Formats: sequence, structure tokens, C-alpha cells
Amino acid sequence: MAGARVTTELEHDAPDWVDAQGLAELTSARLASHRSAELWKYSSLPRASAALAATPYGDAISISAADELTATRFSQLTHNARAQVRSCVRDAIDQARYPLSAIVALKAGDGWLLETPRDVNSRVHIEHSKGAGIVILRIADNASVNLLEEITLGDAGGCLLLIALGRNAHLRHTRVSRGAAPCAWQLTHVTAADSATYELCASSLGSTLERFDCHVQLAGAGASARLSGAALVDDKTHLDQQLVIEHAHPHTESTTRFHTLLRGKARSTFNGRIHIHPGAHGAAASLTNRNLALDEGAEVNTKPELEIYNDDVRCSHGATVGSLDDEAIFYLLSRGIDQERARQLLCEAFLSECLEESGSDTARDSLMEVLRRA
Amino acid sequence: MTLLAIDNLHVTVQGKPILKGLDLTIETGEVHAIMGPNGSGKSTLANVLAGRPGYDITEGSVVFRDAPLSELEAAERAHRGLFLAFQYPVEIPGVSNMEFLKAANDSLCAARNEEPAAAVAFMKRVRAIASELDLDPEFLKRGVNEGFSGGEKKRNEILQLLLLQPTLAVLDETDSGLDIDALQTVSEGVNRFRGAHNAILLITHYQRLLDHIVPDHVHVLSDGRIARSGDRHLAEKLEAEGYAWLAQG
Ligand SMILES: Nc1ncnc2c1ncn2[C@@H]1O[C@H](COP(=O)(O)OP(=O)(O)OP(=O)(O)O)[C@@H](O)[C@H]1O
Ligand SMILES: [Mg+2]
Repeated sequence: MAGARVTTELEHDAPDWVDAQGLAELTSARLASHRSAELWKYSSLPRASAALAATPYGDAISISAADELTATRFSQLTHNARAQVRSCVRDAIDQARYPLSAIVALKAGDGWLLETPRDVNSRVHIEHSKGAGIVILRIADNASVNLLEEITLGDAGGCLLLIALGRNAHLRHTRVSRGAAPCAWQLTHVTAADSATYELCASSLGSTLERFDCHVQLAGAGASARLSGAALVDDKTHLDQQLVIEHAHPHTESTTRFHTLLRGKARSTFNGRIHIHPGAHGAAASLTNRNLALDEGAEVNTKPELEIYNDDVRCSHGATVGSLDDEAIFYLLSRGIDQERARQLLCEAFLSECLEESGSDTARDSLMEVLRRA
Repeated sequence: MTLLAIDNLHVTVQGKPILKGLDLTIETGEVHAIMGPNGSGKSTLANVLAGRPGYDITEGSVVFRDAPLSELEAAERAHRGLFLAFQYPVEIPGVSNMEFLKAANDSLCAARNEEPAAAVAFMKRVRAIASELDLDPEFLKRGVNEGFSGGEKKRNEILQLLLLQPTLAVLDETDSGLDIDALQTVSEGVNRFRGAHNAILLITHYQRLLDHIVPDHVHVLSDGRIARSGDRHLAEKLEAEGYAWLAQG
């Protein structure tokens, strides 16, 4: 069984800044739990954990950051800072929802702590091309950061990206995933303090097994998140996107729009869960997931979930699975545009529509290039 | 020269006979108007000419510029110079109008072995046509017909007509939904297009349009056939008396 093999490797490789005691057993228990089975209904958890456990030990992330932002390896941190990192990583691992966190934490070797001072504008580029890694990004009050994250895994890899936004801080996160890995997993965990804004603009191409967990905690009054994700999943490729957005404070807002285009026998899973806590008066949340299947034999599992413990909120959510609009195709054909180009225009429109508001050309271009290739 | 020759055309839509022996010949340089009650088959004729799937020709023939239309795909018909201004233009969110126009223009150029216009020159030309039609250039950036009002959609159809310069333009109720000023603007556009080397088939319910775009021939379509043909005065008679008198012959 995959669980057993994981245990031995974890004990062997535990780096000193991770609280390794009991972690391996905990992980094994989690991998085997019912909860995990439910959350990993459409992606194989045993396969993912085995693949991640077999990745070579050592940090695999490269960072280039502007001057205002300090980037420090965990191994170079002071004793106190290291204790902080340890507790931050432990918090991520403690979440029973993410059983792979511990494996990635233990496999990562060293990690990166990225910090901005208050009131600055900065930018950072993260590249993840192999293995396991951990990045902690702390954006201080009133600071604003532009993050470009590129995932180009050729082999199995996983990443913990733990983000903390201070008061009124802003993060614009462009995430481009275009690897071709037997297994790619990531947890992006965001905590946003009062009036902070988190903006995600993601594009993905899927992999043999690709899973993206994104957990946003709107943990201060007026904090907001705008998440958009476009994906192009090709024949025999898999993409599983799991979002959790927690509204824990008053007047928090979130808008989520994910579009997935499937070709051939692609498999896509989307789960978007909006959780409005009792204290979140005046919260507003909307979530849309649209899927467009071009061929017979594609598989789409989509489930928007709302969990609301408050009357005073505005929420909407919806999911659709469809095919190309025949009326629109005919309109284009009637203008002399050939069948193939007509379909391509509609596919491009479907994907760019969801990235439009965020206006990220990087995320868009990565998809369009692939779309035009075939 | 004969542009379009329709002979004894029978068309069924989802097994239901709609056109039942329609004859119509259009020569270059001519403007034909087709009037007729709701549901008589006017849009069906327009759609079958444009090649919409689901419209089956069960009998008769349509020849367009010496080619049997049934042998041509919808896009090939456009390449050959056929254009349909839709009664209900579809909205295509996410495909910008300008991008769409460029794709259409490039396709037609490719089919004619012409070099397509460079992007800047092309955009300039499109903007000029838009301004002739009192269409705000902002519409060119929006998705095709996305959120356009009824009248704006119709003007967008005529913009395409003027840009793509087809040989045969079929205008399906382009006047409905237009306010009085827009009707004037659109008619002027169509009249600019009108020429010795092309032809127009106007489908309309209203004589008013025919005051602006004066037809050479007027036909009444009733129950899937041309019930009466005449000159522009036929339209005036219809306007005054309705369709009931046709039944009495
Ligand atoms: N897809 C379809 N399925 C079934 N019936 C159809 C379909 N399309 C058209 N019809 C029927 O064919 C007949 C002719 O329709 P058509 O749209 O050609 O009429 P029209 O003359 O253009 O009417 P109007 O003046 O209202 O635009 C109508 O009875 C209509 O209900
Ligand atoms: Mg009609």
C-alpha cells in the first residue's frame, strides 16, 4: 500500500525545521481517512502520495524578487524566525483537508521566506520545475505585490505556497501551470487581513494527474478575493481544482470564475466551496464554473458548494457543462470563416472571457499558444 | 447576368414542409423585396440560402453564380459572395467584434487569393464604416453583438455588409428594431452598397423601408410559395390592404 511506503521515507528525510515527530504517522492516517477519500474522489490519492514521496529530497523552487522584497532560505533564518516558519508550516499541515502537505514539507528540504516591508510595491517570480518546495510569502500592511508563478514540472512535484496578507495589502497572483508531470500538486493557502485583496489569475493545462488546492481565508473585515482560472485540458489529461473560500469576517467579498475547456478524453474536476462563517455580516460571494467539452468522452465533475451560517449575505453560484454553441458557429461560417477557425475563435473566447477582468496576458497567452498549436 | 436562380424549391425543417415550390430569379443590379405574413417562410428561405444546418431541400434547385448551392458549405457560399444579414443576430461573448470582422475579412481574401489588409489599415476602414452607420467605435471592442440593443445588432449586420462587399445580400428584416433615424442611416448604407455588380434580396414587413431602398421587384411569399410578384406599387397595395385580398386571388 502506498501509505506504508510513505511512512518510511518521511522519517528518513525529515528536515530539521519541520516538526517531524508523529508527522509520518499522522500523514498515513490522513491518507487512509474517509474524508480524504471524499475529497480525492476523482484523483488518485495513493498515486499522488506515492509519486510525491518518491521525488528527490531537496528544494526545487527558484525565486527572483525585486529589491524591496527580502527572500531568505529557511536554513539562513534566525532562531526566532525559524520558529515562526515552523508554526506556519505546521498550521498548513494540520489542516486535515490537505494530506499531501506533510509529504511535501518533508521532501522540500529548504524553503523560502519572502517578505515585504509595509507600504511598498514589489514583484516576485517563482519557478517550480521539479520536486517539492515550500514558499512563504508575507506581505506587510499596505504593501502591494505582483507575483508570477510558473509551474513547469516534467516529473512529479508538489508545492506549499503559504501567503499572508497584512492589512490593506494587495497581491496579484498570476499562476501559469504548463507542465506535463505524472503528478503535480499544490496547495496555495492565503490569509487576508482587514481590507486586504487577493487576486488570482490562473491558467492550467493539466497533467497526467494534476491537483490544485486553493484555500483562501478572508480573515479580516473588508478583505476580498477575486479568483479566476482558465484551463485547457487535453486528451488523456487530468486536472482537479479544489477551492475553499472562507468568509470569516464582516463585509468580506469574493468573486470566483473558472472556465475549463476539454478536448478528447480529458478529465476535469472542479470543486468550489464557499463557507460563510457566523460573524461574516454583509459578506458577498459569487462563484461560477463553466465547462466546455469539445468531444465525446470527456469527463467533467463539478460541484459548487455553499455553506452559509448567516442571513445577511449575498451569494450566488452556478456550474454548467456544455458544448460549442451551434448558432454562434453558423454565424461565423456564414461570414466565410471556416469550421476550424470558427471553433477556435469560440474556444479562445471561452477561455479569455474568464481571464478578461484580471487582464493577465501571461496566463492567457500560455493557453492560446497550446490552443492554436493543435 | 443571373446571380440567383431558384426553381421549384421545397424545404422541410425538422420534417415539416415550409417552402413548397418557390421560384425566384435575381439578376445583377437588381433589388428584390419579399413580403409576406408571419410564418410564411421568409426566414426559412434566407437560412436555406445561407446554408444553415437542419434545412433540407427535398425538391427543386438553387443555383448561385452558376454553382448548385446545395454542393457548397456555408463558408464557401460566403466566399462565393453570399451574405445574410440575420433577423436575429447571435451574441458571441468573448470574441471581439473587431477580431471577428478581421477573421471574416481574412477568410474572404484568402478565398479570393487576395492579400488581406494590414491590421492598422483594416481597423481604420472598419472604424470609418462604423461612423457612417453612427455606430460608436466602442462597439468594435465589445463581444460580437454582446449586449447590443436590437437596433445596434442590425447596424452591426450592415457594417459587415459594407465591409465584406458580397455579390448577393439577403437582408432579413433589417429594418425591424430600427428607430426612424437609424432606418435612414442604415438605408443610406444599403444604397451605397447597391450597384450594377451586386444584388439585394430585402425581406421586410414594411413599405416604409421600401421608400428608402426602392426595389425593382416585390414578391409576396405566402404558405411557402411566391403568391404574387409586381413592382414597388405592390408593396403600397399590401401596406394599404394587408394580405387578405391575396387569398381571393
Ligand atoms: N427550427 C424549426 N423547427 C420547427 N419549425 C420551424 C423551425 N424554423 C422555422 N419553423 C417554422 O417554419 C415556418 C416559417 O418560419 P419563418 O421563420 O421562415 O417565417 P417568416 O416568414 O420569416 O416569419 P416572420 O415574419 O415572423 O419572421 C414557421 O411556421 C416556423 O414556426
Ligand atoms: Mg422571419
